[in-house]
Amino acid sequence: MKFNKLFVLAAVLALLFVAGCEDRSDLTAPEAPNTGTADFTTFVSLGNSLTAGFADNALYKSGQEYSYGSQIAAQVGVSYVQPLISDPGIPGRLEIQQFVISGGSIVSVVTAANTEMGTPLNLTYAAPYNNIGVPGSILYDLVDETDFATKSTQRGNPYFNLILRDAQFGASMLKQAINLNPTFVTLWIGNNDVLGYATSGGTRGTDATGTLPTDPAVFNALYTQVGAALAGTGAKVVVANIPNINAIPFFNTVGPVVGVTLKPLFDAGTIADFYYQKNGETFASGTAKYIDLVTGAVKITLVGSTYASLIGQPTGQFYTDNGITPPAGIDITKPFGLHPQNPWPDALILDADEQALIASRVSSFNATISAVASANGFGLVDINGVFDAIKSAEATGGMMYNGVTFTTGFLSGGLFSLDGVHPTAQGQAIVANEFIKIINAKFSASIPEINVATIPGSINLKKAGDKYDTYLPVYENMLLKDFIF
Amino acid sequence: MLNSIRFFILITILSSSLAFAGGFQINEHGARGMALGGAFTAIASDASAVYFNPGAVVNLKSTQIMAGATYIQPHASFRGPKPEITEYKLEEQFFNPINFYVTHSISKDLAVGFGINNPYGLGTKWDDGWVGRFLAVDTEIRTFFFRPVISYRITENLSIGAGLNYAYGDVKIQRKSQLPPTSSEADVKLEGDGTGIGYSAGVLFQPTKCLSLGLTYHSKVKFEFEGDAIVEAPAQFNGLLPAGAISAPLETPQNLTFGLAYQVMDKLLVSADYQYVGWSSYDKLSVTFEDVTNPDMRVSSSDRNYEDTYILRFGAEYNLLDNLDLRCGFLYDNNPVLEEYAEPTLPDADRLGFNLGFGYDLTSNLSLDVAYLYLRFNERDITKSNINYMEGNSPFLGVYNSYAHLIGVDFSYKFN
Repeated sequence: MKFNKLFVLAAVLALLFVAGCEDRSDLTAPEAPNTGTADFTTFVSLGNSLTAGFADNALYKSGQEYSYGSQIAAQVGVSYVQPLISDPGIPGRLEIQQFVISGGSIVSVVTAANTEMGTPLNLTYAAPYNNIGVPGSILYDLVDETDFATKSTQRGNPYFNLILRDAQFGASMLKQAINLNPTFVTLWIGNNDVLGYATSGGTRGTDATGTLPTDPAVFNALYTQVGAALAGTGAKVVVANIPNINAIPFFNTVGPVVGVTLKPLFDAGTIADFYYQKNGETFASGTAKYIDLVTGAVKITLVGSTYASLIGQPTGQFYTDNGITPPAGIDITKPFGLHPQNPWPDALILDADEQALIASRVSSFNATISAVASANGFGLVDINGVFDAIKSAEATGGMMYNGVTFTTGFLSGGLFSLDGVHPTAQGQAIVANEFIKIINAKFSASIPEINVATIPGSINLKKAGDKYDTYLPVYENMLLKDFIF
Repeated sequence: MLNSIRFFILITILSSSLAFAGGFQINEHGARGMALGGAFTAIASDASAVYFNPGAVVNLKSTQIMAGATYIQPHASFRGPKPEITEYKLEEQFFNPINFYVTHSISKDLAVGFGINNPYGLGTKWDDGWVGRFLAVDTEIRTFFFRPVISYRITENLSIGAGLNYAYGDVKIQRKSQLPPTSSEADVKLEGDGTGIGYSAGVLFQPTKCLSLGLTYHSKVKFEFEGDAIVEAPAQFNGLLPAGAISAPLETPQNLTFGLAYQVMDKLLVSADYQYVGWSSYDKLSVTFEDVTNPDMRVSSSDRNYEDTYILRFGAEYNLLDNLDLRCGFLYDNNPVLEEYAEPTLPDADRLGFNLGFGYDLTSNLSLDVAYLYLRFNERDITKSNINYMEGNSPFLGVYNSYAHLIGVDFSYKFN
């Protein structure tokens, strides 16, 4: 019977073996990365909507969670508190209502603003947020000490009050950042000092007259002041510069479509000029050929997409939509955009003169940012250069990040959200990586870059059951009322 | 300008659409063979010889029937994707491949047999919200092989057999698909079935009273699956996603098994098999979307580049009582999936199997065989991968751990 015993022994051994092996993996969480001479214990981001994680014309949680600051903090493994607002955000975000399909391909997209309002999720947080990115803020807002509630009312911008909340945390954005005793600060500001002018078609501005971009001397003085204040905290600082408008779909999507549409009319000699209002005049002094629209020598803003389909019709839709009485001399019975007495409105176009002014301001502001960074030993992220590089790469199909191709194209490019100005979650990851590269180089750190491919798509679709703006025209409604940057 | 969106969507839907891993092969086709670690080619002394060695069918007296099933309960977990270490577990599932054999002795030198079994099958089910949902959510393959065989004795100690395999199979693959650049996802379901034809052959040689040698060959079977792709996505994507009729050829590998059995002493029989599995024929998988006209998007092909593999099997049977046999076995199964192609559709790894079992004669005609198999997969740490779990370079790196419990039960009846 000795085989009997062997069998019993074998059975017992086998049972022990079975019982002893379930998950045998001994993986441990990755160690915190080496941050070199940079200390992320208290990490603060100062900036505007781009820093806030604003996207699709709204501030909402699932977008904020991918703000570049939040993504950097996740890579480093530090806490980073944000003024989260539940989806679909404030105001309700833009969502895709419909793809317009022709010949089996998407030719354009109809967006709609979700009007289910989000609610702030941590208003009672007892300290300044780590993310002090306030949508709509210009450089001056960093130091402005106007009461937050008053300022929100004055500016028609709820975010000053929602994000800064209480002067006891600090009377200005900058003071709130300093009061956190930061060890590391990112600063990306100044975009709205040109974008306010640019997105309004050159009709409004942030200078003393309210009609032009911020004055370069004012910008220089303010930025120098902010730089000195941040340097005084002893924190390590990285700043980013301002991208020019050539890479922003808000300015480069509609014009080429209109140009291509009008080309046959130009070729046939049916029309000689596209007429636009240069400066509020009622008998248009601006004229463009189709090729100017195609090349972007004259740019139509994304807001203009609503009216692009009305070109050539006797319409005063723009004035009706915006509650403006058509000015004397405007004849809305004339073909819209194709007659000097019913011209394409100034607010929807950036002509060569306006573009030149914007380019000169961007260049001047970026010179200031660079000078202040180098004077204070700050790292400098050349976002302008990065966007330009992506734009240039479009000649060869686009720029590849982690196997995903990006262009500056509206929607298809993957970089920008539905408002055409603010990045998608993946766009934010690309920005975060540019910061990480500079941090690694400047502070001898080795923070791993984010794998952009693992960041999910962030464009949302219109859902049954939610409420949407009803004033929007059915066709191609990209009218972005109350647009806030 | 927006055309590329459609391109992205199509590519994502189509890629990695169908996987057929080595782990889908089932080798448990009779509880006696199973208890011996599957080392049964040179023994094949019950009706399961129809499968294990058609050459041995002629040795079975009168008419014999064998019927049973195997209960298979797989477990697998994935930890990752690196650098994450989150653990995801397969949902509880069990499978019960069946086996049915009948043999009939026509004369001393001629016998016929018929069998039905499921040599390829199994499936996996992951939570539909898990990180790998764009690779696998619910996958299941079933095959039924119908096996008429004929067996002939050439000499006293040499017999041969051969048979036809008519196979039916169906496949269900369900997973999620990204719809970049949106945050929405589509639910993709591919279903199809098909048939295929193959053959088997076997030789049994008994040079001495104590020693026998066996050789069995199962050919490839090429299935032509036809079915439907059902894609559920938000209404905005109506008209943009491929769906409708699909077809996919799929070839199961050829198997060649060499076995030997030795009667060590009166009551002790030991056996060993070497099973070669020709997975290398399965180098890629193509799914054709019959209703898609764009030639660039009509066919989705994904490389698999499997390697030929082998399984080593050892068994021992001890005749404890007149009506009771005790059995045990051991097997080592080398998996065909290269590290670069390992994926959660069916997490595969080299594995060790430990078998126990018994055979008990309930009456002089009716016997019961029971087998237990514990399969322990080696931990598989994927450090390089061609399998991306999201659009772009997102290799699905992590650690797989798997094990399975299998219980086989068969009843055999011998007519007098």
